[in-house]
Amino acid sequence: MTAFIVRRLAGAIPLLFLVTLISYALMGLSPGGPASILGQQARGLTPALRAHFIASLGLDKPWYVQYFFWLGSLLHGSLGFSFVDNRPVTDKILERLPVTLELLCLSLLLTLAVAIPIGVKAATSRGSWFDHISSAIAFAAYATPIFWLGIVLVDIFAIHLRWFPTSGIASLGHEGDVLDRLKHLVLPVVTLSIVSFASWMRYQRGSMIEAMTAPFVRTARAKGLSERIVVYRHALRNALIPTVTLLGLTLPGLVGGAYFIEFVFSLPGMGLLGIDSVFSRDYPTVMGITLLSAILVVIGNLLADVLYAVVDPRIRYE
Amino acid sequence: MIRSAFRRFTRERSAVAGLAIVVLVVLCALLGPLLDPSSPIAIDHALMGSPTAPSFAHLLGTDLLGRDELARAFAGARVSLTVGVTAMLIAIVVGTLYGAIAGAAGGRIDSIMMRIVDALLSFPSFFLIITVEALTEKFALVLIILIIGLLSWMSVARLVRGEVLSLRERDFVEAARALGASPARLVLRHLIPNALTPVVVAATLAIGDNILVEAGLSFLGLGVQPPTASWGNMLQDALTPDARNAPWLILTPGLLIVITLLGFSLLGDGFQVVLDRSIQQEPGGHAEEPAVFVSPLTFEAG
Repeated sequence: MTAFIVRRLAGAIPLLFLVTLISYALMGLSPGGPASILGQQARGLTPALRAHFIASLGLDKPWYVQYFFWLGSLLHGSLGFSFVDNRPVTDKILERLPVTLELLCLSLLLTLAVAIPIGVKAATSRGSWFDHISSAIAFAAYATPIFWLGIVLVDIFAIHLRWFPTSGIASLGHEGDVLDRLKHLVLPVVTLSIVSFASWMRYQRGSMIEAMTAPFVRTARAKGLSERIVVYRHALRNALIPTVTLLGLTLPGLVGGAYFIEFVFSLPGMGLLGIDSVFSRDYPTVMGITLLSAILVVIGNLLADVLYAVVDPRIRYE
Repeated sequence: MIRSAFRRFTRERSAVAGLAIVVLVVLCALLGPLLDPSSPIAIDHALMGSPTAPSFAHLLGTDLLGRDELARAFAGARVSLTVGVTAMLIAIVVGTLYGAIAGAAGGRIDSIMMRIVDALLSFPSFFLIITVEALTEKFALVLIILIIGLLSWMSVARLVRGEVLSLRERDFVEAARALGASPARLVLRHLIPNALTPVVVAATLAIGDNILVEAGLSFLGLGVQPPTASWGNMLQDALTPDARNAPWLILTPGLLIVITLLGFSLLGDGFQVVLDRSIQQEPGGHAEEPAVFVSPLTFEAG
């Protein structure tokens, strides 16, 4: 297993190389180009000073040369310095990461806690009103744009009912107060969970139906076991296997959803930092976030494979 | 056979509902200017500054600039369908050709081609889209369509390759090969047409996914630019503080997106039920499941 993980991680290196290279090329080749930002943000500079800045940032070189500089500093553990405030990109990302992680973990927990029982119940009472209604809700949730749902929930629960704050992660003077932080996270977490509910519930229902028609369930019934034991001991345990792998595969998607959530709720997380730096053409920060997102995808895929082997003893990686 | 497929389709009530919604949206997009003669971009200076509630003159009210919301909704439908359908066509053409070639070639070439697909699927695609959009600063509809299309063909390629792999060993393909058909003819005339069944389902669902991505981009200000109306930028307009006590400005574009996406996913589901042979043995079986897992983009934008 360890050998497998090491091999997969090694295999991911060319992939990360490719992702960063393409992103760099896109930025280098885009009209405007990185050098032009100094035109807007440093209008007071004399031409000589401007040229000096551009040269010192290496922006006068072609993009592929800059890419190798970037790779070189990456090997030394540095993601470069932000064009906006000249702080290390690593620091900027690390200070934003906790908010995003809290958002994602809480929302994943909430989604699983709701979607799995409903999926199982829908599968075991197939064709009943419960099945139909939960399917209809899943379809509706699937069709709902996450940003619109966020706006609607803010409008109802924050602006009209005033139960929760409209945006941000802390009230003035309450920084570090856990309860206050949780209160700020309620609406974002619920929004993200409602939208991801659909896929989880439908997936769990599908794998549960498949497990219920499997021969070993028929055997269990034939042995005269009670329906409860058949469903929960035999069918459910097997039906959870595909669901567990979904855990790894949805990781990158959740991060994508976080961009919108953080944008709508002004949550100071990684997604908002990404959008802000794209708008302010802060290339080093954009590159840092691209790299981190690609790493998350790789980890997610690996996690799916590893979990698969952990929950299903029939699967062995050589 | 077509008749029995049609009958099976009409028996699925949800599929018929999906079809009805899609037809309605298409009609609104095409006939919009006839149904509501107001211009979607003309600013009514008398109404500018504060949105007016729905009334007989303006069935869905007016927005902050005094523009007729219904006319903008129709114009938005046109943009959404254009992006959804053309980006889908790009993805289907690229994905089908790529997948069919990989599957037909087999061996080394196949495994290299599919490794490339795996790599592309690991791209943080939504972030890439917003980066490209923000950096090029050319928000032409063509560019938006190209980006969405070129970043979503990979799942189609996987699907078609799988079909082709199983078709390759079938007798009719063997017969064509024995008759001396060239590889190109084999792929284009024999393999692709027979592998298209699941592609129809994927294509229908992809339209909805693309519409969602376009709305998301326009909402962030990186898609369709004002004054051209799109459901995404209408929603962005509704976020300004002055529009806060005009709930219809938030509800209209949002509900339009929800209804349209619902239509395409119900329709895709319906096609799946009709086209999937295995479903015949098991009515209401779980072939409907893939509806929720199609494009890697959806998950991110959705």
